[in-house]
Amino acid sequence: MPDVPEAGDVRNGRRADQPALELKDIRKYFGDLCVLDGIDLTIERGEVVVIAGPSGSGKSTLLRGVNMLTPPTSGEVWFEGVRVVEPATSRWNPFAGRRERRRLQELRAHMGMVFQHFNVFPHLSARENVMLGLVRVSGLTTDEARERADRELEAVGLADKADASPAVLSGGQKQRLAIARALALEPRLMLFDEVTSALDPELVGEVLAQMRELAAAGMTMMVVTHEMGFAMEVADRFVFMDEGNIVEQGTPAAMMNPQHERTRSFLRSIQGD
Amino acid sequence: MIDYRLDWGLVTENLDRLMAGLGLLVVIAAFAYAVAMTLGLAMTLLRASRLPILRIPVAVVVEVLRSIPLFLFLFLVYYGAPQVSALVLTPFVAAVAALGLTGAAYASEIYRGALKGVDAGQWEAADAIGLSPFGRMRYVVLPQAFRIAIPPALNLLVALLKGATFVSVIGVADMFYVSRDISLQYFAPFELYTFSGMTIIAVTLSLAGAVAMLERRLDRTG
Repeated sequence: MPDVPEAGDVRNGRRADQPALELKDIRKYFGDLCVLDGIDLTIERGEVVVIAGPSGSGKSTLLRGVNMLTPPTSGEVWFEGVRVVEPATSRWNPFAGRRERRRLQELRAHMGMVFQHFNVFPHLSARENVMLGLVRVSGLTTDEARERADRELEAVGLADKADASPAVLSGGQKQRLAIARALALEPRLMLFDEVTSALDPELVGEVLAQMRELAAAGMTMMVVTHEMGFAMEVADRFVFMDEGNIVEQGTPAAMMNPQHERTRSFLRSIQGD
Repeated sequence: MIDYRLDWGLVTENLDRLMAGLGLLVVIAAFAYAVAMTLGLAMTLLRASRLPILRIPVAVVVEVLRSIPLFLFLFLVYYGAPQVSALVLTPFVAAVAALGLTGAAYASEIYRGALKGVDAGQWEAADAIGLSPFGRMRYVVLPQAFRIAIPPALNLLVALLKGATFVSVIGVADMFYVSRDISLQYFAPFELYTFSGMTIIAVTLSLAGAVAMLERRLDRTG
């Protein structure tokens, strides 16, 4: 990923010396339930950060807070020095938050997201899945988008499935399609939300291989996963969460000998199976 | 029981008028269906708005339309419209309007259910690639919602065709209007009403059958 600022970067206040992602005191409440209890986390450019923790620890909510799919109750999200804000809504003014929404849409395209349940578009072919964002968000012509989509599909090994409906793809292929769909928009940050959890065990490998390749290419990645082998191998930093807090973090090597009992028992519990 | 001889000759002699009446029923149902599906979609999109000023009035209109008996609504539109406005409707237009508006309320419910039937993950994926709310609706959600809506929407067509049999009450010369006309002339209601009734049942039944078949096929292709 080149660090040369584009014309739009200056306009948006994006700066090359800013970290890829900065989360400041993120809190999230669902009613009275506190899911995120003041999270501070900075991710440098090119860094691969794996977030782990027991279910209900808030790791997915944190990830979804980055692109405002689940907007935090309070706290700040900064993406390359640009504040990511949830658009204001008004019960009376249909134009409220219009500018913020546009800005958020633009930022979201640059923060690719891959979901646990793939969420590929079932009414579109594999190629059209990738093309949609290119045409409707990036503003490419259909021809440019098709060419681009075919390259992205080839990169994830789905060149021969370009015309196929997602219905005939395996889980692993669907997830690779979802990765291609996100990568086509040239994201500078990729968010992975338990992307192998819904896959049959024999299909996990192909998706992890894709992510490994992406990490090696220098992509900034925020990965929520239970795949500890993958985490130890690919992560630059390992963040352990529990009950809405970051319990501890460090390099994968350091996390082999965790300081906290909660981290130790969590690692034991997932290595047990 | 009085001595009553069935004379099917009355039916065959007037077959052209009866069939024209049946054709009129089908045409009214078809026009009303077009109105219902278009207006229903608009209603649904307005009801999905986060602005109460758009959402609430439409929701009220839908509820009212769904609760008024069609029979009454036909009178209301045909005789009521000239009372409250300069609008004088022909029976045909009044029939299409009344049936179309009632149908729109039902279509709106169908679309609403279909929108809810589109997986939440699809909305999120659309958001995540940076689509606008309009783009999300237009390119991701609606195409999938339409597909979900096909079977209930076709059933609405059957319902509208059945509903169309009421239109003779405002003087549309449909099959039942023709039947009454002829039977009053010859004092022979049984043959004409039996024929008309059986015919419309045959038409709606075969339409319903076709819908069921299509539904099964859609289920198979996923």
